[in-house]
Formats: sequence, C-alpha cells, structure tokens
Amino acid sequence: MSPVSTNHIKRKGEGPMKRRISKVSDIISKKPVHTIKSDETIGSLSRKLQKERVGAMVVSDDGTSIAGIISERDIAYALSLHRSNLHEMTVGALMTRKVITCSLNDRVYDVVRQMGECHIRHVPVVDSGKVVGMVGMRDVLEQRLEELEGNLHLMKKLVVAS
Amino acid sequence: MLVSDILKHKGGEVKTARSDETAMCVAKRLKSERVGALVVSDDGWSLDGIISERDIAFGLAAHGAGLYAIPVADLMTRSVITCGPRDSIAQVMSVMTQRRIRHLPVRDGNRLIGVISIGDVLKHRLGELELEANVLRDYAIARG
Repeated sequence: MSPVSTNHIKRKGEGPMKRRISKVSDIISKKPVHTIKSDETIGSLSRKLQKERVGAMVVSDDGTSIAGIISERDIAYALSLHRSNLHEMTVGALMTRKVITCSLNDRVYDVVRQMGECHIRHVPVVDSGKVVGMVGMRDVLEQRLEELEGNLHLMKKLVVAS
Repeated sequence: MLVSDILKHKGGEVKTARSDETAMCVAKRLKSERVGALVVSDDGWSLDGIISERDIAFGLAAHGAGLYAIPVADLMTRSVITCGPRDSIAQVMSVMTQRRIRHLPVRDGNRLIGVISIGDVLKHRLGELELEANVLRDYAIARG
C-alpha cells in the first residue's frame, strides 16, 4: 500500500472544517503521461493500452501539445462500423478532437462532475499549454480510499490515546 | 452506504449478451446501451462471464482484422468478481482499484440483481464531495 495521504489530517489549531478541498494536483497520477502519435494505427494503440495498463491515451505529435484523446471505448464503438479495417486505421481518424482538460489547480469535485456530465473517464491535466498528467476515475477512487484509511488510522490512534 | 443504496437509485437491470454473439454485435450494444460492459449469460440467469470495452480493445491486439467476427466466448472474462447488496461502497471501491476492474455484478444468493460500475461509485462520491463543499461554504459564511 502506498503512503497514506495527509490531506485529511488537520493542521495544528485548525478545526476539521478548515481542511482544504482536494485539488487536481493532490491526485494527479505519479505515472508519466502516455501519449501516442496521430499517425499510429489503432492496432498499435490497442497493444500500447494493454502494455501500459491504461484506458486512454493523449494524442500528441510532439509529446506535449494535445491533438486529441483516444480510449478503449473509441476502439469498441468503432468496431461495428469499420470491422476488419479498424486495426489499420489511424489514431487521428478515430480520436476525439475536442478534449475536455483540467488544470492542476482545479478542484477534484469539478473534474468528477465533468466526468459524470460528459460520460468520460479520463481528463488530461494541462499546465502552461503542456500536458502534464491525466486524471482517471480510478485516481479519484484511490485518493478517497487513502483518505478513508487515514481516517481509520487517526480514529484508532484516538481510541488508543483515550 | 451500501451497494443496495446505489442499486435503489440506478435500478437493478442487468444487460446481458450471449457467449456465441460476435464481438461486433456486442460492441454495437455497448454503444447503444451506453454501458461499458455486458454480463455474459446464455440462459439470462447464469453468470458465464463479463465482456467490457476493454476486452474488445485488447481483443484487437490479439485478433487484428478478424476481431469483429470473434465470438464473445473467446474474449470475455470468465472468472467474474461479484459483490453483494450489503457490501459497502468502500469495499467496492477497493476491489475496483486493486483488481483494476470497472464493473461488478451484484449477486444476492444465486440471483443477479444488478451491476455496479465505477461511474456509479463516482457519482456517489460526487454527492459526498458536494456535501463537503456545501458544509465548508456554510462554515465560511457563518464565520463571516
């Protein structure tokens, strides 16, 4: 288990209400962002998704600026239309071009709301025009679990202390 | 908060596919039903497997151009992890993150009574965060 997040622990002299609201920078994946070039094939994308164990990749030709985003879902949804041609198609032909992004300073709450409203699982994080991370649904849940674990740990300490 | 509370909200419908349907058929259904996975059940009751967008995406790496005609039986996950209606949301979250899965069929005894997705859990989390944000706001207002 990774080290427990300390966001929930109140600082000295602060009530629990003073706890700050989680920001994207608190939960951004420690993993590097995986990008794929728009001229790569869907077959190659599929292998990369599997190898990197991710559900979506940012499409970028220079590794930092965002041209689009492409996910497992895009592959699945395109199968009935493109059939045997799918694996030779390019990422650029299938990607979503209008990408919903967030910044490091955005509240996790707003990103989660956007995921629900837009029916998406991955939101790239952009800082000064460059992609610096990706927030996935799983990251949000992982952070919550760490928080719950932290609370439990604190409660146990309190019980022992009393 | 329990799995049964989420099911009360979203309903207990279980969308199924048969194991002899093709990948193309199932992909079409995932799109039209707006779900990320279908429970595979040949008689509509048994839990034979589960097939997700991911299985189809990864199937392309394995089967290439022929994927669209491959039967669900060759792509689905057979050892399905399930949860029960009285499991907590925290337990479900932990299974989903640790096993890297996004859909858990809900079993009550031998009966399938629904499917919980990572999106459902997140919606629930959103409600909690909203409450938290409101409490913080009210507190700030109260303190002037």
